[in-house]
Amino acid sequence: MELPELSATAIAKGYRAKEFSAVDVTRTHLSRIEKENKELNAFLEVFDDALEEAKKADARLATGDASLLTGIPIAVKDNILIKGRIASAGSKMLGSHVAAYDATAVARLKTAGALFLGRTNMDEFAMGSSTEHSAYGPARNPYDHSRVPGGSSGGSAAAVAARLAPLGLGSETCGSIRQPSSLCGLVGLKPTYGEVSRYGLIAMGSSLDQIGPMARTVADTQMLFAAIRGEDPNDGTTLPDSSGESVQSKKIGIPRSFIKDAAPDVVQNFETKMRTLAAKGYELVDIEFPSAPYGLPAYYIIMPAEVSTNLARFDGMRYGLHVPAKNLLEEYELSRAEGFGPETKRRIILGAYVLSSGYYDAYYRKATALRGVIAEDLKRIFDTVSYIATPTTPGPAFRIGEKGDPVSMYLEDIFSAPANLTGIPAISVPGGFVEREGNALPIGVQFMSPKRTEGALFSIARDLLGEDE
Amino acid sequence: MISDEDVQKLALLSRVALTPEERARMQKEMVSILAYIDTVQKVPLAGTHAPSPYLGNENVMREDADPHAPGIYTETLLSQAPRREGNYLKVRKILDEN
Repeated sequence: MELPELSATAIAKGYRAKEFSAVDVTRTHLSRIEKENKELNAFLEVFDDALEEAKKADARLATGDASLLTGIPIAVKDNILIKGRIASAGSKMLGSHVAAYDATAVARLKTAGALFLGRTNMDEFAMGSSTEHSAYGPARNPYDHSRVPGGSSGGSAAAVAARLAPLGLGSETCGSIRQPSSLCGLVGLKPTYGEVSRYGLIAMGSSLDQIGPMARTVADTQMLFAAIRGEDPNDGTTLPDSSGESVQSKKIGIPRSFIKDAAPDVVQNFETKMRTLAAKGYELVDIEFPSAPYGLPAYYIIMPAEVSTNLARFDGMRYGLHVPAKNLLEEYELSRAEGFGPETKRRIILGAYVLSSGYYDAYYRKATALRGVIAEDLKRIFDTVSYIATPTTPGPAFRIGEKGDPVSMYLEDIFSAPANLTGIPAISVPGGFVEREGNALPIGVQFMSPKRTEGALFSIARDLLGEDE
Repeated sequence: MISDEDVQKLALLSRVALTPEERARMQKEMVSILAYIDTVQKVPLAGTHAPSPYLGNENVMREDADPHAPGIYTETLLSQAPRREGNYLKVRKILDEN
């Protein structure tokens, strides 16, 4: 097998069997990037010290002083801080912003020996489902360059799918790991809220944000998750350390009325995958999930409210883009006008609206209550089943420019919203292909499960893909 | 319904200058986004809803203690300031200058 085809797990084995070196692996990925990235625009920057780091990794491997991820290349989303590196969050606002410290996830990856290849393209401040909202141009889907890789972690998804890196780090506020994983044929995990520290993740919606892994195999996804997760004094919302919870049965609940609006061939594909699991001993159960369709509209109230608050810090005074003007207010207004793109401005203004007096009860309070209703529905559902399965996305990758209307873009994440709003984990697993204009495009199957049962998500993903433990 | 005046007011509150074209586009898009999020009004909610314990969201506070040594991060942080004077950020007055 060619080196870039190898999974992270296989690379780690190969290092130990001395089949190839970290320099070999890094060089081969760098040459893939050299060849493909101009077109894919997956990486915004490739780090100049990657080969140096590979040499150090080889030295550690030679002395037996290596950790699990020593010398394994990883692509990091541009909103996760790596000390001394630019972290722009795909925005002009932070185009020259250099991270002053490591995100906890990055610090843990450094401890585990991971080799940072570069930072990847994304929708500005993680707001979008296509990377078209990046200030640095859209990334492209490796399966069809006229289509989007999904978003907002689209650069990491395109990089891993195109074999520019075996592992990708992404982040989710609502679907930003799972949706690009679905559109690029990857495994992507949105962990339980609090499982991975948010310290050093540029904030969007703090009650929803989570960093998570993306890879081509379940084993790689699990390995990356294990490396980044865990309690962190720098993020008070991280959960106390535990080895995770287990689920009680192999029952899968399918909310058929919720998924009926997905494309017919996507639903058909999904049903085929469910039969695969039934043949492997899973029991399929129809469930009612009446609050599910309200998840996305509730999300589009809660998230902008948090965005308008979180992004208030970008004022052009302390760091980031600064536009000189004749007084303080004008400097704020012009710096933010120049630094933020259209989608970011839209969400800030929408957030100001739903939080303003007179509308607060009708929108924000209602959405918060709905979040509780969805949680109660899930509690009831998980009393009888261990998993909820849906297609990850209503359709496969769409064409660049196809979803110009904001609401049509938002609807990409309709099946993602319940997990983010309630903090449960969810995984997207490659679930076959559907055809669009003569091209076979990947589509994902999503599984949700109770809090802290990531282990169960990895095992159902393995069963679906027929991947060995 | 959201008017051009509403958008202007929200833009001021948000500290974002919008051109007249941006404002017109924003107003149009806000109308369609609000129509979508208004679907939450269809869900009947009895009285005030206590947050579900299943959600588990709560504010976490830490003790206001153990500060780091003064000044150890000053240079790192101020090195990215667009305008500084010594160890201070330099900003415009609230009244017009020059």
